[in-house]
Amino acid sequence: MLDLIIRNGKVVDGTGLPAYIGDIGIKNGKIVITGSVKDSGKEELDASGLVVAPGFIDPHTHFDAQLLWDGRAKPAIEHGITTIIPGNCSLSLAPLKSTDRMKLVGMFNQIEEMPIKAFQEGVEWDWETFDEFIKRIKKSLSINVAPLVGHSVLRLWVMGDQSAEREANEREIKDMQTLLRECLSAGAIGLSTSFVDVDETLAPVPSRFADQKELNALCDVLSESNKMLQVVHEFFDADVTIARVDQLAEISLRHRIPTTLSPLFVNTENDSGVKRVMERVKEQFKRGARVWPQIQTRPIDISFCFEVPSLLFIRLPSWYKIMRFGTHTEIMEAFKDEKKRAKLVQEASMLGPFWNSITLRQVNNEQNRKYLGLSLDEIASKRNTTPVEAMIDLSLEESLQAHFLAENMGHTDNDMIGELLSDPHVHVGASDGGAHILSFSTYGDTGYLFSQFVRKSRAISLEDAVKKITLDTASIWGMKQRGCLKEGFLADVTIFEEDKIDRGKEYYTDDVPGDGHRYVRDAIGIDTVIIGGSIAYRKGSYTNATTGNIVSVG
Amino acid sequence: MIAKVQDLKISASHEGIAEVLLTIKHDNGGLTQVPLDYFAITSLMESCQVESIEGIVGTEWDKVRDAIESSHNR
Repeated sequence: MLDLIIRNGKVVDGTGLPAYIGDIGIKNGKIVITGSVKDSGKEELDASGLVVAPGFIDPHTHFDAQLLWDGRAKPAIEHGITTIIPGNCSLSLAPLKSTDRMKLVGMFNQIEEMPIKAFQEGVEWDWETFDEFIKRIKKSLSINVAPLVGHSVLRLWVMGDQSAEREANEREIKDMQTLLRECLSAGAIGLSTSFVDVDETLAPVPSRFADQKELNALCDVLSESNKMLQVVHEFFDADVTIARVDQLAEISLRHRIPTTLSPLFVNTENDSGVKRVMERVKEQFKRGARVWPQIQTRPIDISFCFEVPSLLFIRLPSWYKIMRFGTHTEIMEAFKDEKKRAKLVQEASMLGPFWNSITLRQVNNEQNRKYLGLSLDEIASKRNTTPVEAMIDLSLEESLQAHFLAENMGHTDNDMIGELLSDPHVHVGASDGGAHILSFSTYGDTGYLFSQFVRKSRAISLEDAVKKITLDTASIWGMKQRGCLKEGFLADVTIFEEDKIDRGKEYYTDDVPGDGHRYVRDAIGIDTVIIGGSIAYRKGSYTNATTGNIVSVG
Repeated sequence: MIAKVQDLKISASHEGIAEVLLTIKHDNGGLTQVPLDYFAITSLMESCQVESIEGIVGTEWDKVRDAIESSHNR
């Protein structure tokens, strides 16, 4: 008898081959039979009318801290994700000497917006080495974790304060090599580094002080077990990105390792830049290098409130002036004063319908909560006013603490993004799950891949979209026996509704330790998520399964 | 001759905040784009002594570079 059988599903097996109707049989955490299963199971699921796919893999996350208090990495699983890769961008929570804890907390706070209070109240610091950290998070994992070790953290361990001041000497490089080797042996699937990030004092993070000699020495260690180098490059500059592609290609060829750089953004105004980057990526693949650019599926939204100046208003002189030079009181007075307000409203009309679609995302006053998630246009009609007047009124009522969202302001060229998503040289990633939690939701990119690019624009087929975020990801990172619904593979399975899978609306919630908040999104159309052969999520509810594991690579 | 600001556009940064994307035109006609954050753009407007963002069109690259540096060093 099998442990679990999924029957009558539309099996999209992760290879990109056409879907078929069939069954999947699971025993001891592995897929043991596909197609027609005659045996019976201790538990059976009827997946008629549903897609049965390998569990999705998210290669660019920052769930490091959250895993200390939430082994489910919520809400990743409910979006169909069964494996996450944390430790990106040169930052991991291990190895970390006890004396350096607050320094790293500062970096996480600056770069990933993880509240310091969450670390203070949600974390029992009982590890220093990578091995100790792995043992700590492994205790109650529901999701699979394939952790990277951060270059900045290696430097901090070996060089202390000098890690963010200078290049490393021979002895320090050797010490970093030894330390990296230990981390890889303990379960790290690669090394992450950053060429752009800054710490809590706005100074460059330690990894940015490394020279090519140091990078080569560390990649020598990665090459001993064929592990990945992840890089955050100067994504805002196409020419520097091309230079980084060349640099990574040389590293990949010299050390025979895969490399990945993230993120790659596409706006209508920088199409040519992205095209040039991709031409160079393809040239380097032709040479035999592995340089995988990561692209996120979701567009970028801009959030703002009138307490903090925003460039969103820079084309409106009166708005810019009051936000640039006005104090809190002066801005409030300008919003109240009949003449000044009339001028602001008149000036805002220059942007026409732009205001209508802006949504209200956060308020403090109970009476305004009913407007959360609504557009200014909708709020205005409920209040019998105009969208701009509604925005000003809400800001006054909330003492400038009303937060608004202008959606789809960046990474918006869906034609180009669709082309890239279907390109075999492009890696789907860069979700940043678990990061930027006070600015926007980093969850739901997988649902958006299907709703926007499979169903709406038809840029990519269902089978290829599944392959991109399952077997392709597993193959790029060297994860064995994952990402495919075949006999012998680990039983990570996502069952979803083909015509409904999507990301839900963003909302603000308070499930971060230390009274912390974050923006999240629920999933739409995910029926069941199976991790390591156990049902982790089904029909809107999590189970108590803790069959997540540390993913081995190589 | 030196590279100059040819055009500008409000865009979204990776962190979900508004930034200004400048298009810089080089001597040889080549175009490149440079994003400026709030501190850099206000610094640039002050150094150009303009009150409107459109006033920075035509500004030479060295002023843009100094504004970026001042933002970085703030």
